[in-house]
Amino acid sequence: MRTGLVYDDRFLDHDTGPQHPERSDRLRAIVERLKRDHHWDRCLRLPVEPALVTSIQAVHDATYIEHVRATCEQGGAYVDVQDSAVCPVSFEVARLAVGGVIGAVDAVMAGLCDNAFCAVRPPGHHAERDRSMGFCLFNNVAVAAQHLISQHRLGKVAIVDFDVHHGNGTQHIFEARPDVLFISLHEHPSYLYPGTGFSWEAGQDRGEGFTINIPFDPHAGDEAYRHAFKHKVIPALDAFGPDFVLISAGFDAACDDPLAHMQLSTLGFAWMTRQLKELAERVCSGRLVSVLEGGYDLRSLAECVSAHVAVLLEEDGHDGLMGMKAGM
Amino acid sequence: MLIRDGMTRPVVTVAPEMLLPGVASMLRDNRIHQLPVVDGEGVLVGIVTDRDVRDARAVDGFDNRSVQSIMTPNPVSVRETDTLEDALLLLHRRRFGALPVVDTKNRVVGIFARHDCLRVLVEVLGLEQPGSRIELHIDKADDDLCKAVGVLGKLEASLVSAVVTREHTGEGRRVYLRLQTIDPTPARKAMQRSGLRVIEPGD
Repeated sequence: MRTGLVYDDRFLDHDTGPQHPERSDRLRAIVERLKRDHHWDRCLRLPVEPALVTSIQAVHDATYIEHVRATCEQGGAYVDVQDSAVCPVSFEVARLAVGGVIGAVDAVMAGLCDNAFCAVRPPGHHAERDRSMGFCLFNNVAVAAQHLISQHRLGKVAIVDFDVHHGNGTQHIFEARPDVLFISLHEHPSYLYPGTGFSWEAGQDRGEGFTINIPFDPHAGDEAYRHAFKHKVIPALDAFGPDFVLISAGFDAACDDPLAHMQLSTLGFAWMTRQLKELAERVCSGRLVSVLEGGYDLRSLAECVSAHVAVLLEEDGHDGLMGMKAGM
Repeated sequence: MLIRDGMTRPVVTVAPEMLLPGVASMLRDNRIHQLPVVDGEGVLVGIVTDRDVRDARAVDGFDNRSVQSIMTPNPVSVRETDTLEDALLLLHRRRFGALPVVDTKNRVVGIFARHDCLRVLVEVLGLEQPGSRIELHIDKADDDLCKAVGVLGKLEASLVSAVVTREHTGEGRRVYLRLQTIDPTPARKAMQRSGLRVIEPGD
């Protein structure tokens, strides 16, 4: 497969401080690992251009975008909440992150690559229409979904969010709409930030049934995720029949993650990736773009991203990761 | 918190002369179960429930009786300046469905029903505020609570809510803290370092 890769050294300039869980070292660890595992050179590096404010406005309020810009440029320490630390260039980096993801879906739509992974930061899935939450400034994946619908005229887009935290921002942006299916798998909201994503949150109005939340008890692992994929995620995606699959790929459900309590293995992430890739091949010519969200243990983050990208690169028949297949 | 902070207002009321068919449709249309009955000055004179209306209909159908013939006269009420504790205890002990809320002149200004308790509980616990939960077991209530608060103070952690409850067995207490952060790990670790017992999720 031709797999596109979105990465730019400028993503490192979003300086959140050395102690912050969502820091530049995350991307450094990912890049180093992708190079070491020889995936880096096999991917097609995609150019990264900053998103236009009008593109971001498709899912965020203009006043909020301006608030982020002003906070950063005036030297504010954070946007809305202390979690969302920023530096003077964070607004520009956040625009680059959104732009990188838009570029990735454009590249897949143009046939330049079959699928793509976006190693971007800041992450996006907690960002609400009008406020920042949990390290996220702009909702990268939501902007990309809206871009696919309004610019590429696609009828249906699916977003699968396997970050260990509930993708509240993405859910709220699309929950009243039937053209975006949002599926989030996460640690149960009673135990983990942000405290939403109960299974009864299932969409509103015309969007009823197009939001699916799958919370897991703490310490759930590969078996629980596999069960959920087989019985809920994949059947729902097949029934929906999306024209494009987006992944909010957080790797903080990994065993060693310091922010959560799940036990998903590297093989588990690879298995989920393969399920989604095969689904995309089945229903939408393989059109899939995966966007980095969380993952805060540097070693396991890098290892899981590498396994994830390896699966995206696999030809049919899984030449790249034969051993991984036996794992689950 | 006072009752006026948690009650529902404005409140739907009826006049004593209103006929039962009208009362039934008011209950149904507003999807409510209790209606305070007030006189011309808005002064509380009774309360009528959907059950009262149902029972009346079951006995002799709907005739042209007025609500005052079936209402509970001079019902228990609370003042808007009473505490929420008053209302919670009354609803719990006396098993009322709702309490009319009155001002100093006994005029109805709101109603406090069981579902208002749930809303207040959700608010008090901060369940609709994004946050992370930390659960502690403490033995020496005062000392340990001071320690926990001290840790939060040093971390400049933003507290959404704090609840202290008695353990079901033994002398200990449980403390539920909700912090406005995606990363409660520093707080968790600092509490452990200061000797507090942090309950891990899933324990």
